[in-house]
Amino acid sequence: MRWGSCVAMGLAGALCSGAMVGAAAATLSVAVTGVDGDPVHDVVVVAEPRSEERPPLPARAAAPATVDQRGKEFHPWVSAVYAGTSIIFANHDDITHHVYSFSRARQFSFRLQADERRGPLAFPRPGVVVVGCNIHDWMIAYIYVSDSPWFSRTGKDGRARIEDLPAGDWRLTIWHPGVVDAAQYARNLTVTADRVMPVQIRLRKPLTETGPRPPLDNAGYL
Amino acid sequence: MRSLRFRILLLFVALLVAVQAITLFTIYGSMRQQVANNIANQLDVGRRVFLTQFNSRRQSLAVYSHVMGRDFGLLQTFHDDPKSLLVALNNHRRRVDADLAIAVDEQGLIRADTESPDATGEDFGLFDVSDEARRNAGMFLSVNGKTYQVVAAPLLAPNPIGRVYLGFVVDDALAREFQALTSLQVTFLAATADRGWHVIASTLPDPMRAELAQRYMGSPDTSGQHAEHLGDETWLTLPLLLADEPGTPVLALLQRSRDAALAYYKPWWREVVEVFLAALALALIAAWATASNAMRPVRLLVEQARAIGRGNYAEPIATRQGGELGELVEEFNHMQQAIAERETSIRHHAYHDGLTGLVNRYRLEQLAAERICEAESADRRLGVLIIDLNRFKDINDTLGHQAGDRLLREVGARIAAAVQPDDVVARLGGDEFGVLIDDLAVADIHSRLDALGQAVMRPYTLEGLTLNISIGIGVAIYPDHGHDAEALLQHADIAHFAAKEKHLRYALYDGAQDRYSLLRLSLLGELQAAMERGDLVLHYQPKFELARNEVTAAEALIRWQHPVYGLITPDEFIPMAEHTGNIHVLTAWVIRTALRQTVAWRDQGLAIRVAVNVSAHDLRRAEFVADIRAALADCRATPEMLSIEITESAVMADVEQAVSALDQLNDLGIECAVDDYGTGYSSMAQLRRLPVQELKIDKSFVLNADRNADDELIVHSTIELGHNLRLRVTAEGVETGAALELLRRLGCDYAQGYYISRPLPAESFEQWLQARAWIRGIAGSES
Repeated sequence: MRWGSCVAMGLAGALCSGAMVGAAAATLSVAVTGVDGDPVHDVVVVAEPRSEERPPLPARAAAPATVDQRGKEFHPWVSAVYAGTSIIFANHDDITHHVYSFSRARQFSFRLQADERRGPLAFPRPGVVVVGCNIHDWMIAYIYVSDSPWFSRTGKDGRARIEDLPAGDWRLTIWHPGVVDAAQYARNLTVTADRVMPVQIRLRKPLTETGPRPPLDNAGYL
Repeated sequence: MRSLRFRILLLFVALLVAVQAITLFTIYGSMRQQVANNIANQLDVGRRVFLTQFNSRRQSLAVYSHVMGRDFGLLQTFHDDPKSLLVALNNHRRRVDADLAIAVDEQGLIRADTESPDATGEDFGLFDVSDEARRNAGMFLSVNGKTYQVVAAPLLAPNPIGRVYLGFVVDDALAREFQALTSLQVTFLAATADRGWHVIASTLPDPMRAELAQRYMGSPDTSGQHAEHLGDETWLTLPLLLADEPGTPVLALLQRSRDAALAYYKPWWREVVEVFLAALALALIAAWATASNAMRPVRLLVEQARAIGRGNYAEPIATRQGGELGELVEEFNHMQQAIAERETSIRHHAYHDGLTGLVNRYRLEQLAAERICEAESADRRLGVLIIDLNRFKDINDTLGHQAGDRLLREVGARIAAAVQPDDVVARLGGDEFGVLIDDLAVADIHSRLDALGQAVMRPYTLEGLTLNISIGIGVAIYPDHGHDAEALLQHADIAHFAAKEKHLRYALYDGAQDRYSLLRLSLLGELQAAMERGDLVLHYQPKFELARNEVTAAEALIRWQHPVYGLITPDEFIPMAEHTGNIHVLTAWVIRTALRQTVAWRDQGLAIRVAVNVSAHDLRRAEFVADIRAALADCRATPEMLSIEITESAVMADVEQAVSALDQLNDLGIECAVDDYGTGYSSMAQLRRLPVQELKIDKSFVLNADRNADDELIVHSTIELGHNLRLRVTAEGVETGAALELLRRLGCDYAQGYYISRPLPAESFEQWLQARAWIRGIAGSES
């Protein structure tokens, strides 16, 4: 287990990687703060195994994810799904939306009447799918289709937990619509024990986007 | 033409022209300034219009480009369907009438280009499309040799996936469009890497466009409005840097020709100049009129001054002019009047005699000349009279000068009253008057002059005394006796002299008397010269002493051998000398000459007493006796060598004076004789009083005494009278032996005459005397 020993070596010292494999699973507790120190939500945190020998994949989630349209906004703003997951688009508004994506990872375009839903749509290809509404320019949703099953998304508190991370060497990356040059925040880490590994990420540049941006002159009918 | 009027006019015009020139200059300057301001203003407005237009074009493009950036058709075909993308893009371009539409991906690679459909995949570049860069005209890009005003918008799907560019080409049509809006010439220049700055569009004609391109090739001046010389004109130019890098820098030039703007004012300017010229002409006329008007009194004064200069004082200047000129005219009139009065006074004094108020000699001559002219044209005669009073001096001496003056005034008045009012009466000086009588014919003379004579000779009353005077009148008549005033007056004078001579009341001029006039006029000068030249000589006529048959005395007789007139007798020139007051000079000469001769004879042993004739004038001179005494001394002569003869009439003229003078001569030891006795009407009593030693019987009695009993009687009684008064008696005019015998028989003392000898020059007398011819002749006849 080359990548397992590496993980062990990466952790506190003298642990044998072989001894850990299969036995230990750790949890990554990631906290993302902005330049001002405030928590940043909707940051997708992905852990990818660095060893050649990939750890056994966890069972894929059977349930499809949902991207709702409610109050002329997509909910959630940022979704993170494991590749192959299906997503249901549901219109909870009393108006029609025209949901589309021209992203290379997944392209689609359909109209949803009031309270109509479409899907589940499969998102087999990893990548970022940017979803818009052709009727409401400001409506935007990001679907991060992850190649790795170990990922999470920060909440309001800026924290995300990646559970059941097998011991081994990992590469932790983040993605967010407003984070400039996200690759710089990638880091390698080694999981060795069944324990919670705190990871602190502090953004070095302000966010270019912080969330959905509904028009300010929001008349009632919009 | 340097009159005051001209100078005033010149000043006027110069002033006017200067003012107008300044005004025109100012107007022209402000007009140019106005034009410059207008152009600057126009350029500024042009600039604003220009930028507004560009901005609005950019905005409209920008708005549309943003719409395009959301266009579903474009977004749908962006990644996978280039052909559809190009068609869709071109469709959008057409909608907004843009000239260029390009879509690029996020790397700046062209996905579709409406101008170059084959350029897909080429690198176009990403240009800043931020709000900052989108201001004003936005961005310009040179694409395929053309320059476009370009805007860009992101393609949003809904995240940015690329950009879309929309552009308007900048070409001549655009320039013309702006020209139509701003009335300015519009030129666009662009700077590209390969060509530098170059003109991409312009409204200017090609040559100027080329000139401009040449000039802006380097780094153009974009610092604000300036003047450019293009072609033959000056262009006020406002450079406007529409956009700099990134993209293609584009410069717009807004221009307006100053010359063209000035040309716009040309008709107006011509009008202004015309108005000025008209004003100048009007002002000239007004100035001329004013100057003439102001100068009129001055011109009148000038004319008047000339008139006065010519002696015309008659007309004053009439003027209604007020002010200084009016006063001047008034003063001028006063002056003219004063001059006229003075001249009248001066002329009166010049022309009139102060005593009598009659005209004077000078005026008489003038008037005579005038009257002669009149008489000539009217074919009439003119009488010229010269009148004087006889013995006026006696009246003056006895009654005093005041009485004499009164008499002269009275005489003048009577003469004036006796002639016609038009006739002229003048006082010539002393007691001499001149009269011009119109139309006096020779035939009328007697009646006219008798009347005049009677009027003048009526008795006068002076100082309570009744006075009778006599006058002598000389008459000359035009044209009989002369043709000019000078000749007539001279001839009248001669005639007057003749009248006095002959004791006539009047005498008409006689041509035979003419020598007198010549003589008289030159006597004063010539007498002296004659004495010096030796033209005057003394001849001596022997006085034969009957009792002793001896010649012991001679009478000195003066002779004038005139080089021009020949021999002039004493009868001719002595009265002239008396009349002109020169007689004493002559007398003195005679006395001294005779004395010198007598002294010479004495020195030769010849004892001769020389008798010298003196006139009444000589006796009146106070210095007469003293002069003789001096002459005796000077000639080393003794008194018995000289005797003085004086005519009976001369003695009778002033008996008292004659007696006084003769007394003094006697005191000197000089014997005196009464000459021409028998013609002077002297009384026995008067004769008895005379201190004379000799009586000379006038020859008129002696000449015929031997043939005429009456004359013999007179001669006889005269001799008796003389002897009774213890005077020696001499008979003159003895021309025959019979006469001599008669005288001898009657007891006469001396005989004198041609029978004895005519008057002889001194030398001949000497020879005659030494030859003693009378012994054989005269004395011999007796024996």
